[in-house]
Amino acid sequence: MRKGLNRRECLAAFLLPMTPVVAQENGNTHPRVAILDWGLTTSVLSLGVTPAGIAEIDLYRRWADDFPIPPGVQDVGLRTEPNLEALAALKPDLILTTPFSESVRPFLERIAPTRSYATYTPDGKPLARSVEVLRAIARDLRAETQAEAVIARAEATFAAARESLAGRNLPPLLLAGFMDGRHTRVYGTDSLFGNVLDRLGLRNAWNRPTNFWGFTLIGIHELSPYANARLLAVAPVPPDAPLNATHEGLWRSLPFVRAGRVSTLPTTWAFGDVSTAERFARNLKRTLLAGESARAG
Amino acid sequence: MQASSSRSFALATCLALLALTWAALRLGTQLPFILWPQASLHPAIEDVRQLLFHYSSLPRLITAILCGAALGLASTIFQHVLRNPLASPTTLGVEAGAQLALVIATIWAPFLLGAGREFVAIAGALAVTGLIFAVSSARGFSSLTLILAGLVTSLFCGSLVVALKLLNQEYISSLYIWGAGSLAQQDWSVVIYLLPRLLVCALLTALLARPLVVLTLSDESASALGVSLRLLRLAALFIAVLLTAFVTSSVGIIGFIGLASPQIARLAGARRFQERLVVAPLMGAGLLLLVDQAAQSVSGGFSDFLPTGAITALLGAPLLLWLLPQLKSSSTDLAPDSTTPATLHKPAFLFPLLVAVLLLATIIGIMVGRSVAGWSIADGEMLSALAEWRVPRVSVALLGGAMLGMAGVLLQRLTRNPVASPEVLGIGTGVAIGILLSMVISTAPSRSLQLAMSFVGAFAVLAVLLWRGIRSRSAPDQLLLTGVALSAFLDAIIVSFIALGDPRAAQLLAWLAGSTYRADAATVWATLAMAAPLLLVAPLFSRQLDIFPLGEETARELGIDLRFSRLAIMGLTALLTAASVLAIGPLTFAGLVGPHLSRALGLRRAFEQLIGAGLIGAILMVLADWLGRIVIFPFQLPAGLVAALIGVPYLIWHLTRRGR
Repeated sequence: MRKGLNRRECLAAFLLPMTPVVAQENGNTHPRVAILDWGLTTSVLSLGVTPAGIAEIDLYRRWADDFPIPPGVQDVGLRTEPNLEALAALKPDLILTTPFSESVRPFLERIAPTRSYATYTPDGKPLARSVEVLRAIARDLRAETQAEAVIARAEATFAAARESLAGRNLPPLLLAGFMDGRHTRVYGTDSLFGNVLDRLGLRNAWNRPTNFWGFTLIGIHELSPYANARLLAVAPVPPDAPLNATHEGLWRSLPFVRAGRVSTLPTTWAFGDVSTAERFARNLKRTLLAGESARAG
Repeated sequence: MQASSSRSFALATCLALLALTWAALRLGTQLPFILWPQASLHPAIEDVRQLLFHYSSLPRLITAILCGAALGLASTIFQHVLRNPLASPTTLGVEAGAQLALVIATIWAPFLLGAGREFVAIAGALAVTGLIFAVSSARGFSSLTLILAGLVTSLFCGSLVVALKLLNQEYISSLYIWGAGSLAQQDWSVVIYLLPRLLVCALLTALLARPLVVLTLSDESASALGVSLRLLRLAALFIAVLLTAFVTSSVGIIGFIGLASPQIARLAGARRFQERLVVAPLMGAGLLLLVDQAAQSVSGGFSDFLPTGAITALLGAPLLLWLLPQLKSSSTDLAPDSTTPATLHKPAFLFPLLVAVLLLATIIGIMVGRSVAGWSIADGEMLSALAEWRVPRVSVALLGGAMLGMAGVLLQRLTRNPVASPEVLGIGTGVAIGILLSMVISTAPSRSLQLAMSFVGAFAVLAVLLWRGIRSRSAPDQLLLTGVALSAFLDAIIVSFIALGDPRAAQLLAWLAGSTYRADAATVWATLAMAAPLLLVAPLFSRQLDIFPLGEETARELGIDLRFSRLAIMGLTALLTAASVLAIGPLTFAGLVGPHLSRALGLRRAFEQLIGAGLIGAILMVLADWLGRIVIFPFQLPAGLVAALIGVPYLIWHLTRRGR
């Protein structure tokens, strides 16, 4: 369930106060940057910088949608195999990528200096890492003040959300990314979403091991032990996901489904950055508070 | 006779009962037996265990039984009608065809997938079966050709699916899971869907059972008995295709259960077709149930997600290796392709022509391109800027194509089989496993690590192939068969890794689809260093290659040391393929098309065919690389895929014409 209000909120919160900064930016104080990862794309856009090129723009809109893409940004091809000729033609000053493009890195280095930033590392704190990554990128782009503003705003959002959710005795949360009618991802503590839950003082219902990216892929039937939980489905939700099921099945018999403790969150990229996490926190707060008042009212 | 038939039935029943008992014991730990009746019929809504039992465990059990039985039945029919002990929905590529159709529908016509899902799957399965049937009947239904054609088709469909996934990565995560054959259930919809359909198919099969027995007689006797053979074959195949499509559209690809069931039934003593019709489905049901129980037991321990279909595929490769010796090459396998070209092309004109075409293709590949501004022909300064990207790719494509073309000629002459292709030697599997290992060793493997592991994988497979070659006294068929089994392994491993949801799977997919993307100057020199000696050595064996098709006796009389020559050529083929796979990926099919096209142009002697196939392979790959860059700019289609898209349809057309 995407709320248009959400995007406007985003724009209002980020871009309007930064208009003076944007005007200055048009004086070309920032290097031309090409980005090969969606999380890093969000980082750069959150700093008010317009990149020269982004990989898979259309799919970014479908899967991440953290910020609107300014016109004139060039699509440089797949994230895994960007179009080298198109990249070279852009003449970027800097290319941003993640360690998972290591095998392509030698080619990228021939086009422009390439920096590789990882939000997901073995120590499993993607939110903290994404703050560091944002600062590092800001140094590259000469946008340090914007970065501090973004981080401060995010911290404020987390604190405010934590406060408004405190003391409400909320059920433990299941964060689900549905894959099809029978399977879903569930995000644990080591994921970006899981980190946000911690920050907001919320309980994550999922206590089983997860993979390097903090999620695990399960069949729907494995959700059944979590009778007291509240399930939050992160969009995009595939059409055959059981959320929309009308016939009898395990889903409809699950305790939390019967109790109506199921909600959808707007499209959020699980491997995003600080702004993604902030938007997630805001959506989370709004959805949970709405759920609470629905039950109270 | 009676004893053996009842023995096989008893064995199948035992297997099924064993599986059921294990399932019951497992379920018993989840829900006490006393509650079973209530849970089955009206589960208490507050008791989560009963809910799980009713909506998940029980439907999953029944689904496994139904799917196993369906696949066993389908395979029995396939094997009987096609007279091939290795025919099955997996080896014939029928499942792959159904899956491809479903993937295409998911991307471009999702509205079809609601009510029309099964029809999409049936359409895909029918298309593939029709293809295989056409190819096979043109070759007199020879066993090995059928399996090879099925494998090539399966790989082709697979590579198309891979390419589509590459371009729609996130969206298709669910397809990975489904494609791998997960039996997980959360309601009874799959059971309700499958049960009536399977019953109808079983009924139809029962009706056809007696007439089908007639197919074991020779064609003359059968028609003398008044049975329309053609119609009978088609009807039976149609039922088998339906069964496969139903299973694939419900749960995805479950490999090799179909292959195993009739074989085990036969081994257990079910010699008559009608016995197998009953025993094989029973075996299939028991087997799949067993594997699924095992999968669930292991899964719980590691909280890893491994779909049952992936496990059956993994088990299938050793199974295939074990069963392959049963395939006896028939005489039609051994006849060389005797198509005489209608017009006589003088080779003298042909070679310069081919070289000129190659040069033209290379120049186009380097100079013509697309950019944001549109089409462009690069020259001068722009050319030198772009050249650093384009020249390595074009060079690697050229060399890789040439090597594969020659390898194809070597292999086809060696094995005297027109559908033998270097890509099915299993070297691609070795490289894929190497890359997988590099991803296991390091979360973000560097290029050198990936390359190093690729080499290790390729040469490991090479070693296995050569070892099998030596052990089997250089029987060429064994080379092919080993390769087939290894290739079958490829899909299973990749699918399992991808099904686990690892975001790095995209890199593996990209390589799988056959990409020249990663070519740089170092790659070019390395490939050249490997290619040059191999390409020069191959024509030295022309004499042997000319004589092989004449038969073993003739060869010996003409003084050829069969063992040594065969081994040398095997080794050469494997090396050529390995060098090319490392450069341009595993699924290009240039090695399949080059030899045929070369011969069709009139180059029938070994030396000419070798050179011709090398040139044609090079042209094909250069063109494919160029097209791949151009067509969907800024995205690119992997060169191997484009080559397959061009080459395989041509090949199918060529192979379906009867050899004269």
